[in-house]
Amino acid sequence: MRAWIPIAISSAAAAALSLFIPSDLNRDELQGNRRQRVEVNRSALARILGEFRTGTSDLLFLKTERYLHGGVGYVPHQDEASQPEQVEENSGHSLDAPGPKHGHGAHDHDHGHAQGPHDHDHGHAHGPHDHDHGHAHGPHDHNHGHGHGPHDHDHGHAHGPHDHDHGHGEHDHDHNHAAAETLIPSEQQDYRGWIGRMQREVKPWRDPSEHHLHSEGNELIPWFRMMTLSDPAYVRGYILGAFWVQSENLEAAQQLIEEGLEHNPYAFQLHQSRAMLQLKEVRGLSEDGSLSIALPEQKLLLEQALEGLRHATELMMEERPKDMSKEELRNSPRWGRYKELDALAVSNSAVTLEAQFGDPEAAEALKERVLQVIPDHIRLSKER
Amino acid sequence: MSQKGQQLKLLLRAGLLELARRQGIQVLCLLMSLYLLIALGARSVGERSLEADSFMLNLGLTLSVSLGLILAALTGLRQMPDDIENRSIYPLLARPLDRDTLLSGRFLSAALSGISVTLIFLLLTLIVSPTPSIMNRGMLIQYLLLQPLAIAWAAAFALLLGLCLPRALATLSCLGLIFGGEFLFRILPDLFIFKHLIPRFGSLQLATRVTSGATALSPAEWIPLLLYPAVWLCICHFSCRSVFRRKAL
Repeated sequence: MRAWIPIAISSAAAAALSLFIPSDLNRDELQGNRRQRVEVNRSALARILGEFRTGTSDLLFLKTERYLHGGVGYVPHQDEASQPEQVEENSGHSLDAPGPKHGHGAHDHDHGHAQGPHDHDHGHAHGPHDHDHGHAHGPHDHNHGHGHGPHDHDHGHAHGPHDHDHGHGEHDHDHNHAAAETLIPSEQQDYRGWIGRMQREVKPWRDPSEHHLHSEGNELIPWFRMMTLSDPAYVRGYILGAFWVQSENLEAAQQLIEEGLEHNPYAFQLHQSRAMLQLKEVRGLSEDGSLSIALPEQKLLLEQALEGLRHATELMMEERPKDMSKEELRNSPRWGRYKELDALAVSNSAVTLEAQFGDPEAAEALKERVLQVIPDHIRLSKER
Repeated sequence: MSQKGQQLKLLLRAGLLELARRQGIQVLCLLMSLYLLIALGARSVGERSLEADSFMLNLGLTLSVSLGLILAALTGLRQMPDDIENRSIYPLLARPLDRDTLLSGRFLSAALSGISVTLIFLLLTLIVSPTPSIMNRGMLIQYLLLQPLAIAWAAAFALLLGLCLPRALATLSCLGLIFGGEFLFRILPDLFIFKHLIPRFGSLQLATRVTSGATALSPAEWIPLLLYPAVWLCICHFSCRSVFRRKAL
């Protein structure tokens, strides 16, 4: 018995010491420009295994699509060309607008459906086989577009200071992919007879003529969590995970974003997401769900959100390649279409919120700076 | 030299001879020479940039320490079970060798083989690999000082698991915890207080901090890092003694 005493004492000492050892000693502020910091501050093995990690997180992303459709696999049925190109122009309403009506997420289609007490739109996008994940944040958006396509990685969602809680209970969606074919063919198209019937019985299957059944977002959360664990640099995993969590548990969503920021301190989208969650919190404190600064907590949160948006805009302006045309930017692996949409949205949010709750002159100055970086920013140039 | 010292020396020699007889060390040397060749090539004809230099050095440091850890762990894992399985433990204990001395000798041979291999590999890496301009020498020294402790800890931990668990399970859990313990620690929620009992070998692996030009650790960060493997060595030592004394041979 006495032999265990020194073991117990040393174990207690080890546990106590473990409390003093941070798990992020390998991360630190580095010298050089941002790209160098990102490149240099990464272990060689992580870089070598990078492809494997991103591959794993991509596979997990695919898994979320199946889960969203209750396990039913659909044949890819939409392509990017079919998606509307109105996102840039379509940033919604003024901050005073009492109720959300329209708006488009990064890739959502014209199939928003009304739900919840505020009758908000919720767009869903179903994309092709591409591996992009996009989401747009607009200061006036009142809808969330979240895209899941069979075999696609095309996810989008929009956040804005005015966006509201969406219930993500099981619901039918009345949109144009209702007729999409399932991977397991329907009886009319299946030559296999009883084998096909048996497969349809034992595997998740839904008649393609019926509307898609979308399950609760909660079920997707573990997958997003595994995605971010397998590839901590997968910014969209954090953003979309937080998007699904926020309706159920705002604090958990904020924690996920904070974790993402710990691993990706220069990802402007994460700063933007954090700000949007703070704005959601501000709205939660108002009786009518509007953005107001009546309470000191609201004011504090709004200031933090504004600061976050300013920072996100600065990071975006630093990161956005300056020597490319709009088309090149959209096709560039360094930037891409969805990042461009994020860039438009974050700058829009920052300027609008600054004008509304911060310093109007600073808002004007910020707008001018953004327009120097993104001269074709439709919304900001309209307000000029 | 005292009798005990003599015994330890003989055990150490026997352990190192056994290691040389097996071909594992040649495989490690082959892997390391591959890296050294690439690093040499990169240094002489490759692209020289901060990112490239950091990458090569980081890879070299990580490889050197990982190979040392693997060697120490595998040596520690197989020594006692081999002795018991081959029944060579009986003549060893029949001589005036007590169980504690035998255990210490086995630990020393596992730890020293790992440490010497790591130090040689690290030295070669530092000579051959390009040095990033931003590297902080203080941080490098701190890193180098931590590695022998980490390897000794791995050897002791492997010895303990080798004594307690079946061979395959011991190997899996030992290597899993050495290379994945820190990851496990990170993913477990803070509320799970027992997570602090997970051996965090990864907390001593600061190669990225070295190559990214971060400043040296402050005493408040450095001292717990030094004490941590030392305390774990004590845990493994006491546990090994306790288990081995009771083990039916």
